[in-house]
Amino acid sequence: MKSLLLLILSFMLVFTWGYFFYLKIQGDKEKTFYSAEHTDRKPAKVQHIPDSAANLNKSKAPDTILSGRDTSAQASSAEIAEVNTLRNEIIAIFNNQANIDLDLAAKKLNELQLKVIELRKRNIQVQENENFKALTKQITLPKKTVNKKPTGTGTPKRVFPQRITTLQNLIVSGLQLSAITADGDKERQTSRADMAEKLMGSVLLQNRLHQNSDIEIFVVVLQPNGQILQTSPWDTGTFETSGERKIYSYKLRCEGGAGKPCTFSLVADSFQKGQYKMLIYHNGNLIGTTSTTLM
Amino acid sequence: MFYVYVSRLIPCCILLLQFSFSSAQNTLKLKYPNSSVYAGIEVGSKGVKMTLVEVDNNAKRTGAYNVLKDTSINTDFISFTEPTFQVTLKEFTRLYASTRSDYKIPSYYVFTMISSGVKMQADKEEKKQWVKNLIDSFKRRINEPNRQVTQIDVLEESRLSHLGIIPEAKRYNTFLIDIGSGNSKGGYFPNGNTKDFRLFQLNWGTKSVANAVEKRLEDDRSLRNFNIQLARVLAGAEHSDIIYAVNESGSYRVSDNIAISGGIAWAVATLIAPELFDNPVVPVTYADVVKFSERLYNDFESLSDEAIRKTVKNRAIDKDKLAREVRRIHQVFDQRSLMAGTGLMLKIMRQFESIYVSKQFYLVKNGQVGWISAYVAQTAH
Repeated sequence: MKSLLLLILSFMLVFTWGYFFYLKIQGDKEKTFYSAEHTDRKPAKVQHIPDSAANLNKSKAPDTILSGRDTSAQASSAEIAEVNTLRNEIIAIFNNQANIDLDLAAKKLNELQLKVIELRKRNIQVQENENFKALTKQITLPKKTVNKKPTGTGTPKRVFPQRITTLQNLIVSGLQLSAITADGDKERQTSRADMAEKLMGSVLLQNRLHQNSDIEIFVVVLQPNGQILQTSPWDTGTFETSGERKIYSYKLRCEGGAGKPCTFSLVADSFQKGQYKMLIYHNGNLIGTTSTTLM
Repeated sequence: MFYVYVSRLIPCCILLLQFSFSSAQNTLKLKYPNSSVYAGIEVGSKGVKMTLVEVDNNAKRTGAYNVLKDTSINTDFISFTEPTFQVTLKEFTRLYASTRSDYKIPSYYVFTMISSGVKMQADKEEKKQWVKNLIDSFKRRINEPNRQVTQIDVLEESRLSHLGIIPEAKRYNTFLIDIGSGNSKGGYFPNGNTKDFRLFQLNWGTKSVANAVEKRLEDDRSLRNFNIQLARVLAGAEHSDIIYAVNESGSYRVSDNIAISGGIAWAVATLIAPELFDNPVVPVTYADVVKFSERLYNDFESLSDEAIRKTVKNRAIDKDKLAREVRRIHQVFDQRSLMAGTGLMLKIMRQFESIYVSKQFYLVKNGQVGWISAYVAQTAH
């Protein structure tokens, strides 16, 4: 009898699991796009899809045959001639005082503007190449590592193994990462994971050559479980480093002048206990690391 | 003894089964502790879409909502033929019935809409009666003669899309463009409020670009010729339409962020950054998309599901799910469609690319539910 009852119970459990599985498959299928007319799925072919959305565009294809833009680094004499031709055409339009076609003039002006920007871009690339050659002749400063001990009896215990790194003319220092909690209207640091509302980080960057230029850095914050901290999909992305693409937690543009720390904050619903590690990348190179521990 | 065992076991089994059935019906994972679930069902140009939206009832977080589920069925309603009409009506009715029976959503929490694309095409082809017939037939089938089926115009749809897709923190400095199959539309909020919306429209979409290129191929249908003709079509589109449309919108000066949605955005975002597969939004640069477009032409095999799967090193990503999504992309878009759509995207992005000012570009994967979600949340509140 006991075995019979156990058998019945087992059968019911298997039936329930099977129903769950069936529902899961149905749920996955609901997201499938399928055509009402074509039940078998075929790769979309431009000429076969019976899609009337294409009829929305009734305007005829442009008659002007224009070649694709030249992406070569150096401005060719042909492009300069093109700019001059456009300029002359615009002058001719305005010289025809009896019948000035403003729409045509506006279009030609836009085109001229784009071509000039393209040429300027290439000129700057050439300039930057020359600057880079000059920089490579300079001597780089030696790397230093500094261990900073936590200060004060009232502050939470933190360990910042800071790496002060120079990459050619870039000096990185003042790396900090701390957890912040709201205390009424004010914010204060905390070392408790259950009280932390956000992580705040800062870094001091100095570009010895171009002190007022912006420096783009990527911040990667690793959680205690090894996963990269991503708070908002609008703030994260990927960047190239050491031949692979890496996800960043935050992207910053910092001023290269001395004395202005670059800060960011990462808000999350909850934080894990353990060590959070912050890595700073610039141009694909790791330029600084620090960490903080939440208890 | 037997009867004692049975009398104790049967209620337990019944309870277990009841729990199983109720769990099966409530498969929605709610985000907010105090919320209500609404449904929006839209008849669009391509077909019928249903979106389930959870709206937070907490007054402090008015406007906060979470998309629980979205379903799309391609019925091609705007071909305005009897078979597509019947299929659209059938799916419209079926989705409505599922909100009531499967998800237990009350009738007054279900919103039914006709999108702007349908309205525009119906106006153009003088098929307004078809839309009216669809609405009337639907009401008869669900036995709700007083149900309101709203017809949204393009301005309202674009405004709601912006509200539904762009987070509040970026609302007033983001220009949203939805690249569709036949046309592109979008806009931004110029005056710091959500009522004034500047609309952007462009008569080019992924399919219309591809069709224009196909017309130019003549006898040489090779990929090389397709690429050459594509560059010409896009250059012409840029000169005749894109530059003007972007300049006329006035968006360049006020927008720090450019968000692109639509099917091509979903495809490119998934293929260009598989490491961000779980992210609904992927930030990209102009250079990233240029590199991707070159890969589409020169190395299309590297974008297959197996090749993409191998590039992902993040163990947190479900690689089987990623591979399925990539296969789905290749079912919807072939190589040439991807090239056409990416090329159009680049031409639009180019208008905002400058060596002096940095704009941030985002590709939005699930933009198709944006305006429905915002409409439901707006109406619910």
